[in-house]
Amino acid sequence: MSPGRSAVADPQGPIDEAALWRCVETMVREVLLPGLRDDADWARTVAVQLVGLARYAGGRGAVPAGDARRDELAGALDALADNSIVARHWAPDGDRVVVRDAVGRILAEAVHRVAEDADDPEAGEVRALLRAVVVRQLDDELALTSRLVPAFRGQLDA
Amino acid sequence: MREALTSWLAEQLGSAVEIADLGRIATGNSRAMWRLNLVDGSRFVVRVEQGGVFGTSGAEEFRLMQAAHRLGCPVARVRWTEPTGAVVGQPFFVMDYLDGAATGRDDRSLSPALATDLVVQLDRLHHTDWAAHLDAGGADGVAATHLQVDRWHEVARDAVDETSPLIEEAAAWLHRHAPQPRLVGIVHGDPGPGNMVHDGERVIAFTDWEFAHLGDPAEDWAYLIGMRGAKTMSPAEWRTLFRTAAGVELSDDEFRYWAVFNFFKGACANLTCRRVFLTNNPAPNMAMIGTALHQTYLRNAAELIGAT
Repeated sequence: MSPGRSAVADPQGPIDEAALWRCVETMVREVLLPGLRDDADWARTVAVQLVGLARYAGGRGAVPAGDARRDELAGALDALADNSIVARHWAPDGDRVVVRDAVGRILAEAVHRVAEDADDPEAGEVRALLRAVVVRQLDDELALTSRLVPAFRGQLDA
Repeated sequence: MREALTSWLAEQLGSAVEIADLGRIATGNSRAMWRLNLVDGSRFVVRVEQGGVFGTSGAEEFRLMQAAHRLGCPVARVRWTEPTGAVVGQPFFVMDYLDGAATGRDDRSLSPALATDLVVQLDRLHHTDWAAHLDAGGADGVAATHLQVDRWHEVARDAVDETSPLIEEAAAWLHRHAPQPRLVGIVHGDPGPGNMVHDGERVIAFTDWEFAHLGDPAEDWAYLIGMRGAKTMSPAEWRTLFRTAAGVELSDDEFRYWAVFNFFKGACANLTCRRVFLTNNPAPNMAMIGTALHQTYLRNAAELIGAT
């Protein structure tokens, strides 16, 4: 391959998804947006957001599998099997399909336990070892999706 | 849409109608807003639902706006409502167009006079004698707050197939710590810069009533500080203005509670956009609100709850 040339490993294979999104982003930005009428405010708003969406889709990499996150939550619950709050809502090696429901009920019960006794050790354990995982998973997702916000606000080059 | 609206308006007005101009206004995510000018010079705005965005209904918004107008509050007069979706594919209502100063979508600046009038008018809205115009529907004392927590909790649960643990935690926290309201009044639910028509010094009309309901007015004050008015002035400056302009004093605990509530409400409402994006409205703003904005609000609620 010559320097400066992109790789085309398989001449008959599919084009890389990120390249397709780059095409959408570039064409909306450089061809469609400049061609809008001055009074086409809504179309301009949508076009800027579409540029942001295409940039996000092309740059986020592999989509994290929901199963991996469920497994991580189930692992955190299994590790807290001796905690009475957890034990009421989750059986060790429980069904992954309902793991988020169980985590929600456990976090809700911990809220009430903390309200009764701010130093409740089991509620503290739930917060430190389970809630922390839930919040970190949210942060992981937010680290990617927050890139959408500038375009949502109408900023093309942020 | 033009033809359908022409026929429908003729039925409402009882005479032939000719539309001179119909164009979408570039604001609003929960509703599509259309500028509607008739040949006879009448000017209206058509506010069209967007397939369940935010879990709110135009019919309820119409009802609250109508009541507020009759109570003398600054709000556009609503004219006609079409709640079935049979005419343009989505429910909608029509209200009067109001002239006022235009501000940018993210412009949160207010002149001192306008900020003061905003607080005064919002306080008047809260204190209106609404009982003759609206059914309380169980919104009595702290039950009014529990109703709102349940309402948004249900909206979030309906929006997705799997439970969101932090939504469950926030709902439990809000039920557990709900303060006794000093007053149950009409709450706008989304007040502040960007959601009003004004002349630079006075509020001409509050707009965007889809979150309006009966409840604890502290929700609105906390919303101004933490959400829509967060870039306008500091929390301390807002609280001083509340006190001097309207005699409103709320404790730190009350502000913290309603800050959590408002982030929870935003997280739940925004989650509806995810389903809307995947079903009947694949517009980019739906994907953005249903992911980034939902997650941001949920993260903020979780942070405040985690600090208690």
